[in-house]
Amino acid sequence: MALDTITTPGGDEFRLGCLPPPSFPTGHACFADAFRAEMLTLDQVRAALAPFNGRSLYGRRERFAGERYIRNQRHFGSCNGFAVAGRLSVMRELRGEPYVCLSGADAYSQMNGGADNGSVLSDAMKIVEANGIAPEDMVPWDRIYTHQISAEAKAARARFKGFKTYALDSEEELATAVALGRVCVIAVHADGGYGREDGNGVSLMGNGVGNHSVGADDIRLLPDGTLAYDNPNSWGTAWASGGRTWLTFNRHLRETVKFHRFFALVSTTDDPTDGSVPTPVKE
Amino acid sequence: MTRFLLAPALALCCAGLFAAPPKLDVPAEVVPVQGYARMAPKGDAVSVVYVALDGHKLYPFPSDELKDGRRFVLPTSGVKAGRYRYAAVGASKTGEQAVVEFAVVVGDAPPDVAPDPKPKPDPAPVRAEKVFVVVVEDAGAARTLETARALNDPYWAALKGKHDYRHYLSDARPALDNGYVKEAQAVGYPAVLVLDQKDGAVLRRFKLDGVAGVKKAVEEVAK
Repeated sequence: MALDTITTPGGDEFRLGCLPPPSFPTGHACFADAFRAEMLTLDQVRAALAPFNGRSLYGRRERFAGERYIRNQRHFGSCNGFAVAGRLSVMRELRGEPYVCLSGADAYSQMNGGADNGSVLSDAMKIVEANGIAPEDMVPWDRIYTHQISAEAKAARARFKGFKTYALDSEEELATAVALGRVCVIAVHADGGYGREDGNGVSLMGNGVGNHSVGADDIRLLPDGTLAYDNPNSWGTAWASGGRTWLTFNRHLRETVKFHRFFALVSTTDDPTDGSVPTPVKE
Repeated sequence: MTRFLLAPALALCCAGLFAAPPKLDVPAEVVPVQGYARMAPKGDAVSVVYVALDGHKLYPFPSDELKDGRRFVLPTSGVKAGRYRYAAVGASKTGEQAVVEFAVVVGDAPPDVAPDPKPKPDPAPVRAEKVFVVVVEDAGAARTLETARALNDPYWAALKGKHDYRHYLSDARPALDNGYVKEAQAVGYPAVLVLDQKDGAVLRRFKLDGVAGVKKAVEEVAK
């Protein structure tokens, strides 16, 4: 199956590999069910953001900038792999683990069924907790098939896992998750307007069934009271604003959320072999 | 003639005004022998009076009953073991006084410990070279916006330069295995533990109430 492609103003061509599943995936724990007591209304989120005068809640665009954090999937349909690997890498660092650039290609290899025909968002939710993702220095961007990945890299996956993922099916859940500091994987429908932005830095892309998997890791309040979500993409730092753009639920996500299982990554496991192992409490 | 008589008189008066106190030599301790503590002070005091200190009522034998009123005689038969302190107050012919303290030691009383005139300040607490700050959130409870903001404060990234940190949920395996959850339960969630990285000693333990509290704790216990 040929994936759609998109060519950026800079001339880079990317394959849009986030596939809507045949039916809406079920069987996942939802954020609202798991964190019912945490759920915020959109007005509560707006109220929390109001004092920030349009600035984001956590400054993640500034903190997670540059090629270290903004990934580049290049010409494979591996967006889903890069979205989840990028979020896992960032969540680990937020928790205090040393930063490790985790492989989008390795994550994709676990979801693509042996062909470069894209993958499904809900599979990313499964593999990040069940299997983990190997470091990129073990699995570079172009090793997207299982047979290309070493046994050592496959064994290394267990050191880098998500801990607790929850599905997000509404703007309330997405806004709550991001406002409470979680990082999320979502689907957008990339079109010719994706990399172009309005005066508020919001993407000019439209809605659709969704064809591209990306991250959402921060939130801000636009002048008209709309919530905007910071979207780190995996098309390199030359795209849009340093590789990021702003999205709004109504303009970009209200349709894609119906076809793809967005999810929040709440925490990660520790890597017991890194140089930063916490000390047990002295007896 | 008068002039010559006046000078010695004046000298005597002046001597009275500027006379030195008597010499009074008294041993620091007097130990009773065969039921009596006896002591004869040395020096040129013409009279010596003994005053019981510390409120005890073990009074010496009246000095005017003694051949030498300057002597100290104390019957100690039946007296409870202890240190009984006295002040010997000696007077000179011209009325100047000297005071010397001493003790009668009855039985196996421990020696007096003289109060340190300049008490040494407590030694500065030893600070940890490197601390590990652990935060444990209750896995079953709601995270608040305040907690989220505290845990995402830029302080944590800055802490990494010299120290280290980790954020856990209470059902995370390392949090359970390393004893963090047990410590956290003592103060309530979300809990902050500041550990000495060298040996895991818990230097501070408190409930998270903003990142300022974490900064303060680290500054107090770490180099």
